[in-house]
Amino acid sequence: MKWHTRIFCLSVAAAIVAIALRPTGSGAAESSSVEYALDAAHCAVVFRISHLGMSYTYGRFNDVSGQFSVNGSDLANSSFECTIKTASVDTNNRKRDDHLRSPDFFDAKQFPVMTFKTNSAHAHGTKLHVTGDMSLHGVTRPIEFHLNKMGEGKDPWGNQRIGFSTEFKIKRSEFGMDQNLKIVGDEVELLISFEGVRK
Amino acid sequence: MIEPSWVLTGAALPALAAAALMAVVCILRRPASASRIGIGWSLSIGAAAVVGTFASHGRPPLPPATSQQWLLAAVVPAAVVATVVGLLARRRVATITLLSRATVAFGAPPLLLLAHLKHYWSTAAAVTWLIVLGLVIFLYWSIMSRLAARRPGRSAVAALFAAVAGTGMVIMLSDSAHIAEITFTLAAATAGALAASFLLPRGSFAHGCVGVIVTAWIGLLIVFWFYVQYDAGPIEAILVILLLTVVPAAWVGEIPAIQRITPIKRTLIRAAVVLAPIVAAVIVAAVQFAREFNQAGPW
Repeated sequence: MKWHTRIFCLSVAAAIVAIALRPTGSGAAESSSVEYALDAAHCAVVFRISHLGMSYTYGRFNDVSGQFSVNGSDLANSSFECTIKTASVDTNNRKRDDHLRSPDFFDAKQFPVMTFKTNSAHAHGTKLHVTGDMSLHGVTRPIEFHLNKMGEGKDPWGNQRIGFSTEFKIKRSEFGMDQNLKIVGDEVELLISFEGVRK
Repeated sequence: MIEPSWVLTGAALPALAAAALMAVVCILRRPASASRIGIGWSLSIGAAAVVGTFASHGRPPLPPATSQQWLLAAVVPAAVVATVVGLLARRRVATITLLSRATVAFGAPPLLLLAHLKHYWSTAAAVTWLIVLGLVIFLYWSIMSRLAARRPGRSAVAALFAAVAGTGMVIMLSDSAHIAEITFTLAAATAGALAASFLLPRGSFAHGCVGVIVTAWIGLLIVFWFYVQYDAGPIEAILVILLLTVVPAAWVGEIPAIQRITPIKRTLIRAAVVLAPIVAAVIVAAVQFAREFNQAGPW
């Protein structure tokens, strides 16, 4: 055999071996896990809570960070971590925000962050059913919610992005925030939307 | 906003509990020794403040998670123990009294400021703050104990009651009903013990309880300064300084010129000098509250 025929044969053999040894099944899913950094500029953690049972007061947290990994072929292998600075609470009223930072509510000096970390995720139709631990006000409790994947693709600058949204409720008293329950409701509705940029 | 149910658990309960404990000590041990009465004072106020707070806010987790929980679960009981040890050892070893006092005074700030030690302070800042605050507690405890020993009536306890109640009002006007409630519970416990002390003969040995009240009160001022206000500024500094003025002000009756005037005038002057900074602090806090209320509206 001539030398270039030999190289060709070796290349074909190597390709066949590589194909034969390539990961399959769950192994393939793990290998396609993609890490994303939370894009704070396109992340919203908004909440609403009853005031005197008459209306809702809306607020948001302006300092959110986190990261997540998404498995393209198997969303159930995805994981999410998020950290929110409690002092960044913003309800469009400075005095109310000061009160929310006080020991009556978030006690933001003593509990500067609230965190969430997934324990498990399961595909639920087109959504992800996520369970994880939420730490707030010194109390860690399991929570669960459905996460909608809204889209993914390249942005105009060439970055790979993916976006999700969710809505769920928690009871603040379950996290030890039980002051002023007759004025400010116990149930807090959270509306969260976020994008991640591939690392 | 303080809720009506709190009045029962956070104010009436500790006041009655403190009064009952004091009455038991006074009635069962008549004539009671100075040490026993001192132990009665400190136990009744310390236990009533802790019970009242736990009854209204629930028992804290172990270990406590917040500064205010450390205050009630560890610092106040430690102050009671230190007082009891000091009273029992007084006759034999004065050093034990000072050592137990110093242990609480310098041991309390690290427990109350765990969040700052963990998240905010450099080593230099932490060491400076902990030493300064420990010194403040130790000195105020010593100053008030000395005053209570010189004037074995109820005036030292009454001055501290006014300081604690005024601090509660200031904290109430400064964004935290929760910490204000704890402060008022301490005030209610002090008032209950003070009322029951009228069962005692003259010379009620109030020096037995000033350490507990001073430690709890300064602990609450620490919570106010470091936690109630996210960014404490000049107004809060003025409020704390005014409230801390109460302790040196309580010594006005010891000035020779004041001691020479009639007892009624002397009492009035002492009351006025003690109450003046408290009233001033409440007025400053109220004006600040009104100004912010007008700017931000009801929140």
